[in-house]
Amino acid sequence: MLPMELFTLQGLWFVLAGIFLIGYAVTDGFDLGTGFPMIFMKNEEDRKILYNVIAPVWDGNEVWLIAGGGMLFAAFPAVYAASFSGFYIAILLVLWALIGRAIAFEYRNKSESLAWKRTFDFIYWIGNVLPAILFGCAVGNAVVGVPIDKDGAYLGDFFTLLRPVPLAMGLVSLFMFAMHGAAYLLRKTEGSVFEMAKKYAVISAFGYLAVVILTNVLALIQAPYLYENYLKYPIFFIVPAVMLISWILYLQFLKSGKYEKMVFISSVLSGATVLNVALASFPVFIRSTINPEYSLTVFNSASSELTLKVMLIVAVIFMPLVIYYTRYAYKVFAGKVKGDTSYYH
Amino acid sequence: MDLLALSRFQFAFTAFMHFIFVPLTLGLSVFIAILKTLYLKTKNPLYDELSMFLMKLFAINFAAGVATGLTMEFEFGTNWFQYSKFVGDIFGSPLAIEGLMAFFLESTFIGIFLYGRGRISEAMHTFSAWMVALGSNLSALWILIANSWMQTPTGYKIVETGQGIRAELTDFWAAVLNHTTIIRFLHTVDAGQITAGFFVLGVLAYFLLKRQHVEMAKLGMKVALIYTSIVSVLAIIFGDISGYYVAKYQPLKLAMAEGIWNTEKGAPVIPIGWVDQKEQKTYAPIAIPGMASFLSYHDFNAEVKGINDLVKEYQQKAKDYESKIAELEKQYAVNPTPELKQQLAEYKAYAKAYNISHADLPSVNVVFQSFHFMIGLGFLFVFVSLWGLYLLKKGTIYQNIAFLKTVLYSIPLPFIASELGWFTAEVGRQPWLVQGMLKTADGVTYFNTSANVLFSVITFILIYTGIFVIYVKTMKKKVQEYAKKDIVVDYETVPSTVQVGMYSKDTKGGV
Repeated sequence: MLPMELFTLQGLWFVLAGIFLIGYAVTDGFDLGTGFPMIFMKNEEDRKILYNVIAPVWDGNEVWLIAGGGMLFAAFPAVYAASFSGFYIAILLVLWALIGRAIAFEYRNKSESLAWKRTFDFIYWIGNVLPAILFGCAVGNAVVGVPIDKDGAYLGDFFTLLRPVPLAMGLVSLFMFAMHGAAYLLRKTEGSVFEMAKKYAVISAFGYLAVVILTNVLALIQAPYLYENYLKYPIFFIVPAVMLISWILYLQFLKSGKYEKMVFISSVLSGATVLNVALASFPVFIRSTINPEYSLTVFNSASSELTLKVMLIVAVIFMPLVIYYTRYAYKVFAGKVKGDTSYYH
Repeated sequence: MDLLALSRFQFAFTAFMHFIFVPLTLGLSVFIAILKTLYLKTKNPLYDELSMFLMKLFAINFAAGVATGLTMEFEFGTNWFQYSKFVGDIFGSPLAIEGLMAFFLESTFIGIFLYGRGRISEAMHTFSAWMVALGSNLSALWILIANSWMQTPTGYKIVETGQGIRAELTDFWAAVLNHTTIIRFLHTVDAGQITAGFFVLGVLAYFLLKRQHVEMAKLGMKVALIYTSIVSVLAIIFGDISGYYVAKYQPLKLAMAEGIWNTEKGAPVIPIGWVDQKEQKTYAPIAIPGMASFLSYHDFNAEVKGINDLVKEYQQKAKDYESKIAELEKQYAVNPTPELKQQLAEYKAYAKAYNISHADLPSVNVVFQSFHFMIGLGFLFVFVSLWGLYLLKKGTIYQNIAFLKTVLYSIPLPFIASELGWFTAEVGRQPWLVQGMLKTADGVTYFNTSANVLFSVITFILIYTGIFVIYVKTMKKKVQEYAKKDIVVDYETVPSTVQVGMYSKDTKGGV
């Protein structure tokens, strides 16, 4: 059975926070994942396609992160404060990467010079790879535990964060986004990029499997408490089962050329991966390694009831609206991006 | 170096840089949507041509705005840990709503707007232009709701939780529509419209000076001048109302902005002056008696409180709360009710926040000078746009080199005015993060290291300067490239009311 705690206002917000994280993983996953092969591509036309496949939608995708950050701030301010301040240097790295990515998008094609373009291509590549790893690391550190005191003040430094399990989780998110991006590229491209994406999909799928296994081995040794919830509520095992089935289907659809279904199933896989971590950690957001009592949980870090209620109403009104016009945007830009298509202006 | 000083500098610097791009986004999105609508109505391709050209500049500006804006949301958490915990219950909501209600809208439709042409109908394209405009201005609304709450907080109570003392929401609408939200929103968004107005006027003046795209520039000037005149005059009105509200709810800010040290009746306005903070004096070669009282309270004889007296008043307030705390603690020992506990938390916060001294004050001269230069620029905008309107009526605007050069070189001025207004508002808010509730010094991430922040400050300076340089260069390049290009317009479809060709570049007359 599901834990009763989920059925409180705070529990509901935990679910909503999860939905935001999944929304981000699925939408911005397209952006990040399609960017990884950038530096391996020699051909200018191919590189342009990597930008073109997401140029019209990336801005909207990234808002999931911004709105999600706002939601975390509003619903769980103590978690927002502790994680952002605690992971200071890591957050900075993410920021630079995202800033670089945004700038590369708009400014890359504003000059004919090859050096200019290659510089932005590199910035863009870093801008995709670095956040993909760091998001996983950050979540990993939160659930594995960091030295936070009773006020939520972080007592470690940047190097405290570099531990095996969180780093392995960083790789999981990297490969998760890669699988997702590969599927999207197969759906959106033709020719040489399409051929590349086929290989890219296989490599990322097996990479994903390898790092998931690695993470679990490391976690069993170093953070066995992450399995407690699963043992307590065996129903949770549905989620890893979904991960496994999605992974198999992903390769099946790749083989049979059903790329639309592949995008769908990689979305499911991304969602299940995020959910898997959330369930392992619930109700803890950030575990304290100093004293378990100091851990920030759904219950001790939530906003007041009124704020949670107001924000729930806002979310219920605006989320469907956002999803509605996001779908519209994707529909407008449906179809394959051809080599000569340029969304650039 | 001092952790607090570095953290303050970082926030100020990043916000300052972000705010270079914001006003133009606010205004240009609306202006483009207006042009698109005019095109839809008149089918005059020149409107379309101009809107599509401006859209390219808008995209460059928007990217820089998004890139620099990301930092803002993160920074509350990274550098202002105690602040985030203290006010997250209230302050986080407008940020989240901004994302959900406004930023999603703006960012999704900007994709459709920038790349969707040819895939969607003209009506839909115009609609997406309006959605971008709506989204960006709604963003401003929610950000200003958050900011105004810090300036003049309402709709909250202070409580003690397991996570320390924090402000909790008691009335959503009171917090959202606090005393100064609406006027602050109108004033800021209007400043954005002025920025866009002058930007467009300047670019079109450049084309006219170069004798390029003359028909388009002529038509665009007309729209831009009418638009700019209206919003410039509105800025004076909104500014006046804003001053009235500041006087009422933030007297210390008013006193600093006007350089008034000692409470006086019939306080003067000092158009040009210099504040000596050590001597606690404001040097004034010219002073208009009674004007500060009039502008603040619409009464020449009204009393305007001075900095010195306000500081004393706040210190007294802190002492009053201090003494109440002692009483309450006695009561609480006997009868520990939640109400008493809440009141204790409230008094403790107030006692701490109101305990300010002269040393806590910001540079009064910065507040004073920013405020005065902003007002000076505000009147200049009205003057220039009315001058333009007069020339437009006379029909000589396109030949008037002096006017064209004036508007061209005026492009940076509204940007500067916006920043000065922001200085007045934000420096003038000190020593508080949340007025009367939380001092800036008490909001910082105290466990961060100075080395960390120094490192981030240096990187932000490098990255943001880089962005700014690329931004200015790219903007300039786009305009210059376009000036060299011949527009391909199907003149057959231009309605006969527009005199096509009259001012084209091969005509000898014209400009």
